[in-house]
Amino acid sequence: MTATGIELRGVRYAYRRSEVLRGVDARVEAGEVVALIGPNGSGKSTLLKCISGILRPREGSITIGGEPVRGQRQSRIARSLSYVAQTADAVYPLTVLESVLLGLRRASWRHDPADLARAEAVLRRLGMADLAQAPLTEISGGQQQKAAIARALVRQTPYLLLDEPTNHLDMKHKRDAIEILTACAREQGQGVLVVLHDINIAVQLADRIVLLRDGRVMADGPPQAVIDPPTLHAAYDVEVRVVEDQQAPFVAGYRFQQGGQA
Amino acid sequence: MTEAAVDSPGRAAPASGVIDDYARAIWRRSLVLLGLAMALIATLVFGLALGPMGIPLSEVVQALVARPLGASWVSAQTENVVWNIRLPRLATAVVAGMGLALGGVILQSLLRNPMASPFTLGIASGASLGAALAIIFGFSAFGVYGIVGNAFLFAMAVSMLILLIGQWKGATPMSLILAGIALMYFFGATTTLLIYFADADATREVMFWSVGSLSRADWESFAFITAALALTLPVFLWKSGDLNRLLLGDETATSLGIAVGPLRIGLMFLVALLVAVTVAFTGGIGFLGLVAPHLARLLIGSDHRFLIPATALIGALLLTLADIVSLHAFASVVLPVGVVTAFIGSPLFIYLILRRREAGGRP
Repeated sequence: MTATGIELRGVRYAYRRSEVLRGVDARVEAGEVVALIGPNGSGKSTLLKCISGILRPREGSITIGGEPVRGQRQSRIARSLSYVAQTADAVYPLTVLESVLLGLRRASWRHDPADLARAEAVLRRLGMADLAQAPLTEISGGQQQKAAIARALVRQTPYLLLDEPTNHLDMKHKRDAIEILTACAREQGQGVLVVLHDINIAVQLADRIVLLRDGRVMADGPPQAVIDPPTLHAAYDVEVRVVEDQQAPFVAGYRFQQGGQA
Repeated sequence: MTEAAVDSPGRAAPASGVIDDYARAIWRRSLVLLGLAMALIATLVFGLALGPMGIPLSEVVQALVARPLGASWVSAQTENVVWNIRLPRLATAVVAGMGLALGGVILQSLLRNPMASPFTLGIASGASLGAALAIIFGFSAFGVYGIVGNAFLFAMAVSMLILLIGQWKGATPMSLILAGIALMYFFGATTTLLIYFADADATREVMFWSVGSLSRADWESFAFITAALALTLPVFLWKSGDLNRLLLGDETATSLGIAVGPLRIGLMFLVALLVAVTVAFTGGIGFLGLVAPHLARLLIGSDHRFLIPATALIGALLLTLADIVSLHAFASVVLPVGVVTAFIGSPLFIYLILRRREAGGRP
C-alpha cells in the first residue's frame, strides 16, 4: 500500500459532445473516507469510472499510488481498487456467495479455504450470511447492492470506489451498510471514495466531502467547511436549513419555492 | 454498534455453515454432471439398438467393444450396422448438439442476454442461405465441400457483422439481439426467394439446410465438428472465470481487471467458428442453442465452470434424443431432426419472452 493516494489533476471527460468533467482536481489519501456529493448530472459517477479505468479521460492525469492509470493494464488497476457500480441488475442466477468469490483472484478454478472464510466473514458482517446460497435474481435490489459491497470488501484492495452503494436500501439498512462499510475500510486502512446523495450520512461518516457541480469541484474540505446553506444553495439551487448537531452540521430540511419553478 | 454485530453471536448457524453449504453445492453439481454423462451414454446405446434391424442391447455393447479390440463377438452384419450406419449418425448428433449448445451458452453470457443463440442472432440462417446459394447457383459442382464451405463463409460473415454492430457506439446487448433477429428474417426471406425460383431437386436440397438434418452425418462430419470442439471448448473452460465476472456487468467486470472488449471479440470469433462448422454439416438445427443453456442453468446454476460442461452434455443429450424421435416416431417417415427440436424449442422461447416481460422488460 502506497502513501501517495489517488490523485486527479485537470481531469476532463465528455460523452460525445456534452462535457461532463471539466477539469477536476481531487485527492483520496490512503485510509481516508471521502464522500463525493453533488446534484444529478454533476459528474460523480463519471469521475469514479475514470478512476477505475472503465472510462478514459480526454485530458488530465489520474495516478494511484503514484502510478498513472492511463496505459495501465486493467488487471493492474484492479489490484489497487474495487468499484461498486450504481445499479446491481442480475440477469442470471449466480448465488450471492459465488458473486462475492468473483471478487477474489482471477481465473480461480478452486477457492482455497482462506478465501471462503474471508467471504463468509464479510457476508456475516453485512448480515447476508443466510442469503449466501440465494440466487442474485431472487433477492431484492438492496440485497444485491449489499452483495456487491461484500464483493468489494472481500478484495481488500488499497482503495474502494462506491457509486451510491445504498440507494436501494431503506433508512436503517442504508445507515447500517454504510457504517459497516466505513468501519471495515478503516480497519483495513483502505482509502474510500463514495458517492452519496444523503448529505447527513456523508457528514457523519466521511473525513472529507468533495462537492461537485457541472463537472467541477465546487468545494472540498472537512464536513463543517463544506456543508453550509450558501454553498448548498449554490450547488443544488435549493434553500436548505443547516443546524448544529453534536458539533457537526445537519441538513434539517429545505424550503419549497413558492410560485417559482421547482 | 450495528445490526450485524448484535446479531452474529445469536445466530444459530455454525461458524462454517456457509462454507459447508458451498462444498455441498459443488458436490451436487459434480454429481449432476456425472448423471448427465451417464444419461448420454445410456441414450447412445439405446439409440444404437433401435432400427429396422433390431439389435439386442447386449450385442450393441459387444459390437462397440469388439472392434477396437479386434475381436469378432457379433456377426459382421451387426458390426457393420452399429459401426458404419448408426454410430456415425449418433456420434455426429452428440458433437453437433454440443457445438450448437455451447455456441448458445457463450453467446448468452457474452451478450448478457438469455435470448441469444446461434439461431436468434442469424448465424444459423446465414449459413443456410450460404448453402442455398451454393446449391442453386451451382457451387455444388465442387461436390459437398462447395456447399459446406459456403455455409461456413456465411456463418462467419454474419458473426463478424454482429460483432461490428456491437462495436458501434452505444450498441447495447438488446440492440445486438434485435439486429440478429432482423438478420435472421432477412436471410430466411432470401432463402425462401431462392427456393421459389429453384427446381424441385434444388428445393429439396435447400430444405435440408434450412430445417437441419442428420441424414448426411458420417464419420467425416463427426471428425470436422469434433476438431472444432477440440479447438474451442478448452478456451471456453479456461475463460469460465472471466465469463462469470462478465455476468456482473461490463463495468464491474472491467473493475475486476478484465479487458472486456478483447474477451468478447475473441470468444465471439470462436463461437462463430464452432457454429459455422456445425451448421455447415447439419444445417440450421433450430432452438437447441437456446434451450440447452437454460435447462443447464436450471440444473446446475450460472457458474461457468459447471455450466459449460453441463450445457454441452445437455445439448448432446437433446439432439441425440431428438434424432431417435425423428427416426422412429413414424414407422415409414424420417422427420428432419430440426423439426423435432423446433417443436420443443418454440414454446420455450415464447415462455422466455413472456417471463422477461413480467420481470420488467429489461434487455
